[in-house]
Amino acid sequence: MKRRVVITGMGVITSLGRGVDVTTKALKEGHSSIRRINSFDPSSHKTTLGGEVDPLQFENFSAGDMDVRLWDRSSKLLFIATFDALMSAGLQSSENHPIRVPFIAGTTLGGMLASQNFHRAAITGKNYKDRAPFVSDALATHQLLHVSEALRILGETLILNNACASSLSAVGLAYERIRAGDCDIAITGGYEVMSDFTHAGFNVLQLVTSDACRPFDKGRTGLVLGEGAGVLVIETLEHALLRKASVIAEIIGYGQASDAYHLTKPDPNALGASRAIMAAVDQAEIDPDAIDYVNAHGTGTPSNDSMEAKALHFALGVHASKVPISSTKPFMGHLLGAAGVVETIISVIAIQEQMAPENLNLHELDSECELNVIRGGAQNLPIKTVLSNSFGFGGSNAAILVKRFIG
Amino acid sequence: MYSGIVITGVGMMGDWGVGRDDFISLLLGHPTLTTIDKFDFDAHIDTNLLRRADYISLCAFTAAVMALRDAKISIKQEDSTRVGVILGTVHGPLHYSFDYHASLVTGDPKMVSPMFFSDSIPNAPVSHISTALGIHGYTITTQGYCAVAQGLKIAAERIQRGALDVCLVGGADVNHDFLAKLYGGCVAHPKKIATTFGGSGFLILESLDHAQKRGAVTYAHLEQALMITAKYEVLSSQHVSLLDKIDVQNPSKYLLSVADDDKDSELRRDYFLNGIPDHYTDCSSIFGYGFAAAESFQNILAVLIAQSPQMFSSFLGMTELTTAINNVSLLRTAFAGGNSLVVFSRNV
Repeated sequence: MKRRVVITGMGVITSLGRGVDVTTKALKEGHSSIRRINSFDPSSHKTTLGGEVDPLQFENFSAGDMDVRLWDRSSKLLFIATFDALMSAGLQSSENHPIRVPFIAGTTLGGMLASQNFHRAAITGKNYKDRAPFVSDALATHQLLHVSEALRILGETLILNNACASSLSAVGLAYERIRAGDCDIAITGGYEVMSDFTHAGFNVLQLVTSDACRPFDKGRTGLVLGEGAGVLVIETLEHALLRKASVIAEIIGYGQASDAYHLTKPDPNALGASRAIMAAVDQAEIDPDAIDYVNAHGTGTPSNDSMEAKALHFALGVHASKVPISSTKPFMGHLLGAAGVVETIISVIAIQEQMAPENLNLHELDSECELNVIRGGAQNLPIKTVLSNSFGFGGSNAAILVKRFIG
Repeated sequence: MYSGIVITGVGMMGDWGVGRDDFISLLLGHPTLTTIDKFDFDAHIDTNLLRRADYISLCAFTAAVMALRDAKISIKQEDSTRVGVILGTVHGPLHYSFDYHASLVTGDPKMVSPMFFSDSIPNAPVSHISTALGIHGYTITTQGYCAVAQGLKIAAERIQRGALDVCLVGGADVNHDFLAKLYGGCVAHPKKIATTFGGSGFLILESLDHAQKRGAVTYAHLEQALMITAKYEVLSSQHVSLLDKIDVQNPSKYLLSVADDDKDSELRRDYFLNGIPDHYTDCSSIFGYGFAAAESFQNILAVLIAQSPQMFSSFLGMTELTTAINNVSLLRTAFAGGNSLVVFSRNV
């Protein structure tokens, strides 16, 4: 018998702010947080825009009895989202009572801030040995360990990298392990931080826009980068009921597939993306018509959005042109490895609020994207089931289905 | 405990050489030493498939192709949506990452080669393998000091659930001066960094049914792959021990062990000698701090011992080793509290 897997805790921090309530308010009001980048000088690049977390969020930052002086900003983002998710789930640990659960997280470039500081010192001949302690935060696996140690989370820690599908791959793996009976509860999510390294990389790849992120728009010219973290506590329904946890939503399907096409370009035939969506729908044992809203990957790059439209038509049939859809990347930027889990949280917010966020900055729908894209403000809709997609470099494709919890 | 998951192929290359013969020479103390930048990749792969790829991608691709050949698997004859690739790594594409940073620091950021960035993302090697070989199933990169064990675990779960027929699971990391700088002040034996063996190793995991249908020869069965992060979880009897979780039908007869520092090694030896294994070898020194490459080599070594213990008796210093060994367990207590246990059983 298949086990039902429910979400009982959520934590999120992005340029919109910290927490589900702040995120919900911004989504309802159509408030974008894309600004000029402040954490480094972006003036030598095509775009100077980004979705950065307000530095005030890190003022007086502490993590239990941990020495956080050397913590990279990405560790702090992950800590904040994890702490909030545990609080939301009613899970509290202490020195003598650790939480014995697996923690599976995804990221694309992990501790790149710490890494680039060390690289630069080594390249420019400065005393890199002074920076040796930064090794403790230059690797993604260390960040997860820092957070686990600070929050007394014991159990397997696992970092997955699947480019921009990383955190959704993490959620998917945790979901499938719980569903299969390998464990009863897991903490899962992902994080990403803005850095010179990443910003320059997307600039030289000519994937960013100097204008605005306009998913599905005929005149779209690229993406805008962002940063943040999202964490979920997921568990079997039985486990949640036993510990009297509040159930927020249910995960009913997950799919993952590879393009095997190109390192940075999506397959224009959308075969991998459509197979990921169909696998999620098959696992959920639902008809595509049951999907009430799609939170799109929608990066705003010409190749991604037309590919995603094709994948949706292939996987959902005629329902693809009817189901309300939006990309929420214009609100906070593309969070790369953190995008999947943060957009899963937005999908849950859509269910909770019965509200589909607007696809900001859409002026003229691209004829290659024959979709029911939401514009003119957030829409109040009856939303029971949401599909959220994440696609990444290397032909990584993942899709998840979340549903309103009905006991 | 898994059932019906077999290893049907192995492939490996590194600073010590390439293929099984060189691997055994290494174990016997006669490595064919080279460096990755001098390695003749053209002799092993059509590098047009991986034009301008980072060394780690070239190493991983070479080992993956060797493993597939060893298993006599042609992806074209498989349902490619039921074939997966999982690669473990600690540092990922380090050379391109470093070159990319150097370009950014010393030149005009706008003139940086795009490939430096796209190829410096950790999942680039898996992407190259899946693209070049036409693999459309589950692909993922695991990162950390027990990344290969975690990859084996994910692959076994997916095969067990019927989601995959075949999964290529490997590890890869390459040497770079940067590593010695990075770890110089952080590890107990920094000199080991300079003598480490980088490269890549791959194992072909397959469902027993699938292997039998195509008449494949099996090396060993994968019985378990476990991972616990906190160091004291393994070492203290007050906490859950990985060894307590060994769950095989024929009790483990042989333990290979790896530790990143001597203290760990001594603690483990004391603990184990009072415990389960009949035989014990610490193989930490063979591959040094080879990170995920070393982990993949250690797993391949465990598979080969499980398959043919007599062949390794001299290396293991145990002339009495016979076919009585039923299971080989590989336990790693690695940097940053990573602990894993992988158990392979003899193909009976």
